[in-house]
Amino acid sequence: MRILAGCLAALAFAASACAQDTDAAAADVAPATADIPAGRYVLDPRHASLLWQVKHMDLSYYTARFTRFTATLDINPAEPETARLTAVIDPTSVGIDLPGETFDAELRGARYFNAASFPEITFTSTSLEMTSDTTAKVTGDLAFLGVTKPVTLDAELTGFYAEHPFSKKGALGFHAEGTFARSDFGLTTSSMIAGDEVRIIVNAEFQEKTE
Amino acid sequence: MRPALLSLVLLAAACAPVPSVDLAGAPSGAFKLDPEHGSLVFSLSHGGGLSRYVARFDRFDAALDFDPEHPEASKVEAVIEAASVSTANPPLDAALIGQANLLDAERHPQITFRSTQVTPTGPASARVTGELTLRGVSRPVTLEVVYNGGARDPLRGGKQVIGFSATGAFPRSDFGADAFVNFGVGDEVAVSIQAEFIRR
Repeated sequence: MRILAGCLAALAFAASACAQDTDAAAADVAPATADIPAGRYVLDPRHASLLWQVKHMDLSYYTARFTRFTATLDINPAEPETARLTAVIDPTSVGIDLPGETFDAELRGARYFNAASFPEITFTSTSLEMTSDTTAKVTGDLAFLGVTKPVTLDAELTGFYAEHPFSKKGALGFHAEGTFARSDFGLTTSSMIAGDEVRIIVNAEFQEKTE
Repeated sequence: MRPALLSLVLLAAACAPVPSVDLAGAPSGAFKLDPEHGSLVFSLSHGGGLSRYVARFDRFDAALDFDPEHPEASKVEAVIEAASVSTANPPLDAALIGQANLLDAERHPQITFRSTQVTPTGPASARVTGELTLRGVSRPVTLEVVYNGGARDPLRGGKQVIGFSATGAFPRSDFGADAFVNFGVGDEVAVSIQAEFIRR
């Protein structure tokens, strides 16, 4: 990640050259996160994924995703801990998509996400603690099934363009993971066979919004 | 404790199968993947390292000969339907499926993996090397596999079920699936597998 941040500052989209960089080269080129334009960034939905997992009978992780979600990020690289993130997820976009699988419909239904009563799952950051130049613990309010509770994600800036060669605007890439107890939100269905802990895995690109 | 509550407690204790992670005591024999409890997620670098792009395959099957007492004798074969790639962006799915130097699925509808070597790396883990065949090109690929446990599942006919997690990575250009490698899309594909197998 640091390899690529330094590489991108120097080269325009020469990805093959970036792949050959070594950690020794990265140590000489400090990531210029200060060059990232401050302001509002919007999730690029075509380059974002939101996976969730729960343990199934302690035998495997049941893995699914949401395919419709939006997010907005307000950042000031000079004061990174003032960053604010809001995200909205459409629970009807849940997808396991396995053959013969009708479970997606059950997940949307009253015993699980109850999407008819709760058409949005939202996350609104409340605080951010930088743990390195490019990593942070992001704590926010998760509003899920009518309950709002704090959840913390470990986030990493995986790459950035201060000026993307195509859009000429800032672009940011993140990886974030976190866990929460679904029972905290009243979701205890199938607790005999499906774990309480939900693991969230986000990979997302954001584009600077400049109007 | 009131009788109704006591019986609920006993019922809960009775119907939660307690999985075992002791490989030595694990069930052995011929197993088939449970397609409703498996996932095949892959990712690669996107945008010149901006982020990881994550997608999956939705249709796959596998057969496992599992010998927990001699894990190195175990064998696994998997078949993945190339056209089941799912990025949640249908035009992109079509491009991945159709392009000759990507999945080339019309000419090569199946991706297969056949293990050739299993080397234990711990009490419940092993390195599994096998031949991956993608676009009709075969190359060795190695997975790090963890045995999560086994249990009899009353919801699956009382059969023995065992579960695994596995990760691995390979350069797609080794298989000729090298589109966009010079345009910011990574060569290395990382795979993340979850799989439960039911004893036949």
